Amino acid sequence: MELQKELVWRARQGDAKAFAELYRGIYQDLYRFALYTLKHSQDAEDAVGDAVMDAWKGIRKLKNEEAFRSWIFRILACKCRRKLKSYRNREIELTEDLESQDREIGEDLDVREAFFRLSGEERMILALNLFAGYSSREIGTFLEEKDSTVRSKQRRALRKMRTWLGD
Amino acid sequence: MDDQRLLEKLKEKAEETKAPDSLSPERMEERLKEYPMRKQRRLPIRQLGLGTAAVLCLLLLWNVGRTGSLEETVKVQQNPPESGEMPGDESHTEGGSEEDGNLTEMEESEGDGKWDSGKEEGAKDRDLTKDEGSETGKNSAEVQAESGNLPGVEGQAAQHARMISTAETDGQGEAVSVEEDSYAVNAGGMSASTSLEASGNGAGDKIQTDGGFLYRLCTDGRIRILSLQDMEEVTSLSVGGEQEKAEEIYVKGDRMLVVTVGTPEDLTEGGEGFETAEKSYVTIYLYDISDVEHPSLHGSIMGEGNYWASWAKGDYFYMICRRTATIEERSDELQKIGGSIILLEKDGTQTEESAGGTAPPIRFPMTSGIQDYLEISSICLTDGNLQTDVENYMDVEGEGHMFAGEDHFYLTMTKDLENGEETQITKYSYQDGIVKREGQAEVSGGVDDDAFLDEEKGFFRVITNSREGMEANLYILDEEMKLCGKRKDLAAGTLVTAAVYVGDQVYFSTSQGEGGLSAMDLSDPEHPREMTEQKRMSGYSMLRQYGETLLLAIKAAGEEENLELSLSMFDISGQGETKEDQVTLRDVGEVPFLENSKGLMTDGERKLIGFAVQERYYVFSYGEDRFVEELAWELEEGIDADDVRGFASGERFYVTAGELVWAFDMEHGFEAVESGTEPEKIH
Repeated sequence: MELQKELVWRARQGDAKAFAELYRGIYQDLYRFALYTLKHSQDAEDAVGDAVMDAWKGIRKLKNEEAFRSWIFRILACKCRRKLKSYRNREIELTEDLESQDREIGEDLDVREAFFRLSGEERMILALNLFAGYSSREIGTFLEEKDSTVRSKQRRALRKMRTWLGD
Repeated sequence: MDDQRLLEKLKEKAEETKAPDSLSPERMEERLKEYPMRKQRRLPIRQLGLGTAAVLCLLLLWNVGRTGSLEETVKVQQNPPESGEMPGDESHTEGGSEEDGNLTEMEESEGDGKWDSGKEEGAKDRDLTKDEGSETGKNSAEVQAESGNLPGVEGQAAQHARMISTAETDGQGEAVSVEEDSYAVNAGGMSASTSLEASGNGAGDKIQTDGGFLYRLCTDGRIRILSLQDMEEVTSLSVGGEQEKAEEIYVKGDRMLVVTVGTPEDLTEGGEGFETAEKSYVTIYLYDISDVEHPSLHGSIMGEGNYWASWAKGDYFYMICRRTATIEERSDELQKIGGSIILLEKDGTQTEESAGGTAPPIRFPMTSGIQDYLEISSICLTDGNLQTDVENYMDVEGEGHMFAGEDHFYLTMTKDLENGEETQITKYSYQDGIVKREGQAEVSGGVDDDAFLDEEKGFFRVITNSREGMEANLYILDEEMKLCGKRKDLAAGTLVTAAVYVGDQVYFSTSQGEGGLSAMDLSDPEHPREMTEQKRMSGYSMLRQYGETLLLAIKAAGEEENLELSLSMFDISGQGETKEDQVTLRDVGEVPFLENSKGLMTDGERKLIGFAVQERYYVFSYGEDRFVEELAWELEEGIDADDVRGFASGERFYVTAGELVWAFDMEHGFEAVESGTEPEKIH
């Protein structure tokens, strides 16, 4: 944590290398969050890139160094939510990289496929939990929902997945 | 496979996915170097005044040495009460007196700003990105000048100072009034459904009815008004812009309030990344429904932040929003609207106030870093005036609950500390839109439900659960928020799962069957007494007073796939043996009202209990000491049980789910009167 504080402090002074080190610790989760929320690898890549640039531009306003991870995830989640709105009424096909992995057979494949059958909001709620590590309260704050509503939606989503998995 | 295991499997699978090379840290560093950082915007200290400048300098110095965000207020240890029944006083209270400097009295301002009333008829979508002034022909500068904004600020409503609409008249120059005591009831029926209704306060919900009309918030976001007499749609209207989602409606007399939450693409031009993008806001729209077929928009008020709670009392509507901001951001915003700021020390005492503005000051905790806090506003429903009257704050870090009584309301925040949970309780008085912070206290443990809070004869009662020590405690605070009574370990080594206060008594259920108490007599606040004559209860999720002598207890048991829901009725009259009846529903699936109690309808007068489960809406009556199933209405596929509400009016019982409404004849065995109103039938 001390190292992170120092890196944030240096990043605030304009040290791109320090920022990149902060990014190194989370970039895989950032991409997985965007991909699992949007189901579209190119859009996910763009969202992550844009979010990181926004974070870089605004790093000086981050006062709580320990909150870097949740802060940048929030930026990314905003981008993804905006993108999800643009998907309204459109069916998004699985992208090629995901399709190639779909050739696998077995329960593991079903877990991801079941996840991708969920609605955009449901995927976002679960992804904020899985990849950003947000609590129900934090997710509720972001989505303007009460904690209890978030927990209900999460339970419903997981129940749907279990139904599709035949569990 | 349980939820946790499913999430783990999902995470394991996700870890096989790798980010593309374009997102590697090395490539990202190259991109970052192409964008030099901008200069940080400096706080215009000169405009805030020298006093505030000094404070801000101190703030910067303080920031160097601080280690974290504002965690806790300074605790003032009170002298132990004389009763001697409280070993190991764990609660800490702050004095609520003016001398302590903790009072933050809010004064109603005189009307120094004006709103564009946005006078419209029927359904007109509001585009929040438009200049508010253009709605009534005023230009941006005129609206801003009236509201006290500094010139040059673009007209948009993300403000927290007072905003007053132009008074609406009824054409004869007289202000439109709101009838006293003519508010509509929500779906909870005659009995109190939530703590907000315990004192007759009105709470918003997805539906409202005044006996003649049904006002409902539909899944497409429109408000639809139905005549209950002929089951015909009277009108429908769209509220808010595309970015907004209607959350609740509230009807009183000829006024209808709609609360929406929204997230605009951008609130200001030239935003710098996420700080100015995607900021949540809450808007309250006030409609005149004296001509119910043609509701007219009376005005609206918008506040930035996340919607937390709202309720009505008398002629005022109160709203609480949760905000996240740094002190610099709030200062900047306030400057733009001529507002001022009072910085508060950790112990609640106030420091300098910035050079006066035209709006009431904002009380803000003096801390660096991003601060979560609550802001409380009030809106007057009479005379056509909308006022955001009072600003206040409460340090927000954990889970919050509230209780609203006749003259006071209480907000609780439970935080996780190193040595366990702790709950901060803040007391406010409120009357005629004026909110006044009166005191604060802290107790050990966490509040799990609004129903754990209560006020009776000026004494505040709270039950907390401490999961660390597996202990439930009852605390009683006097009018000055000082501890005067306490009972430790209510549940004998377990936790309280549900509670209900009935006058001077509290009934509660514990998480385990052995041991524990089920009721306490609180008539002597300093000496809470165990009521051993009452039957012990365990495992209930919800307790609700039913009539004057009965207690409805609801239990959900089993896994979600085969959940069992039990209703039990207890006689608490104390007149002889406790009687009970029980009915059990199996495989009910989801039971949303356990999370959102507004979904549970209890009508003590008609002796009805209604609620939705995953696929059905049930109505039970309770008479002659037994439950009778009156209705088990199968819900159409795709209906979310959380959206379903039921209520009785006249001889009919109505079940609503978004656009659909079903009516049942209570005089003839709940026979379906008409099929639901289909969206196609709406004019």
